[in-house]
Amino acid sequence: MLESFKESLVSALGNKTAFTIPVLGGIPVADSVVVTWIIMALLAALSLLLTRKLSVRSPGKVQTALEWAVQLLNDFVRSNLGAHWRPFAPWLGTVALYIGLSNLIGILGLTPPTKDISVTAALAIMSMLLIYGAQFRYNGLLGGLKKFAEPMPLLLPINLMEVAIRPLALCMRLFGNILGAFIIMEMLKFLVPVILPAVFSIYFDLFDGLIQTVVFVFLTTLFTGEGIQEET
Amino acid sequence: MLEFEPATILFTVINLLVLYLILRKLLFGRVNAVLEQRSALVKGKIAAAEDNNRQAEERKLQYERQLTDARHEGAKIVADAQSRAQRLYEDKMLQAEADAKRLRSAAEAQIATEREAMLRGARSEVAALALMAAAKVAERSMDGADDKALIDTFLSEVSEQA
Amino acid sequence: MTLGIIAAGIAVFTGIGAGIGIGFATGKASEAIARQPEASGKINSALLLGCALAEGTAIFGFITALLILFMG
Repeated sequence: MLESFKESLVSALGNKTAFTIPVLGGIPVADSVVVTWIIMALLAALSLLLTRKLSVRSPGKVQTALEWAVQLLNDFVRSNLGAHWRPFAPWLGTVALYIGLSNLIGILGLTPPTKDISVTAALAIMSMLLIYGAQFRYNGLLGGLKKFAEPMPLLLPINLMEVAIRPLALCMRLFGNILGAFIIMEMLKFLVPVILPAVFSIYFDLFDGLIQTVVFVFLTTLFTGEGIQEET
Repeated sequence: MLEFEPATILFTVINLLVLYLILRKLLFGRVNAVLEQRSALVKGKIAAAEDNNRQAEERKLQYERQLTDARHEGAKIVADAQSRAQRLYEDKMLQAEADAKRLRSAAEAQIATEREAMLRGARSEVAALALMAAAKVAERSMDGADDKALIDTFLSEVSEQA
Repeated sequence: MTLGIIAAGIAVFTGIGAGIGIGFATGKASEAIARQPEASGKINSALLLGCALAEGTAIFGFITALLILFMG
């Protein structure tokens, strides 16, 4: 019985391929990509539905909540990025919505895409491009390079190592948290099939998932702000 | 489990970019546009209110200025009228005084002429009486021309003595 | 395989450091908030950053353990 559980756990941990596109020798489309498409469709439909009739003068309840959320995001990004916050807010909001929904969708029984290390790697790569792209975009080539020698030139090797470490840590943190939670939940379901998993699911799926979303977006914003801002 | 799948990474990157475009257009763009419109609306309202206030203030000042102007004008008109009345009064007074003076002088002249006429009458009467008296004394008529001249010289001597 | 399991267990010990670190950070953050409740927003964000970084070590240990268990 334990052996069979181990087998099932290992198979559950692997990333299953949903289907294969039969071109270029077969491109595998993983489960996580399919779930991502579902999330995308959900988000697009929701935003279409919620922003259907926005009114400047008399906002309804839904619009007020929506505006509050967007304002929260804008304020958060502005306080961390300073003057150039505007182009970053939608991207960070998109990432937050995507990771949040990905972490929460485990409740519905779907495989969370963030359990796939390739997805978190893609997210981390995008974050890295954002962080260092912004650093060079707003400081120029020379200024961007100079940022690596701050706060003192002695830290140059550490700053250069951070270019690789930051996205790796972002990727691994998100992946490890979700995978760990997933494994613990599988074990709990194996040991006590009723009630207890539901209670722990609140912590591992809801709380931890949202915390990891906040951490990912927060760290990305913080690193980006570090690269952009003039002082220190 | 721990292997990076390039196809999945690529798919996820594309998915993220597409999701970003969708959400930027449908969600953040719209909501931010509404937020901006609202803040612009509020700003416009505040500016309009301030403009109105300033205009009202200006108008008030203008009215006050006009009011003081009118008050000054009124005061000036009253002063004018008063000064004109004063002048008129003085004119009238002067004229009345002049009239009175003229009348008095005319009366004085008349009195003088009357007195003279009376004197002359009295003198001629006295002369006639004197002549008569003299005639009575002389028992003869003294109506000759040289008699008359005599009397006249006598009378003028008398009047000079008087 | 037994050696691998022991190695994985040792790798997961990194969680001790992370736990101590997060505990310290949270305790200090609570003290700071008690002293200056008006700065709780900034303290919270600093705490979140510190916890995320401290947790990173535990996560790396966990990944290492997984690598040893399933790959090694």
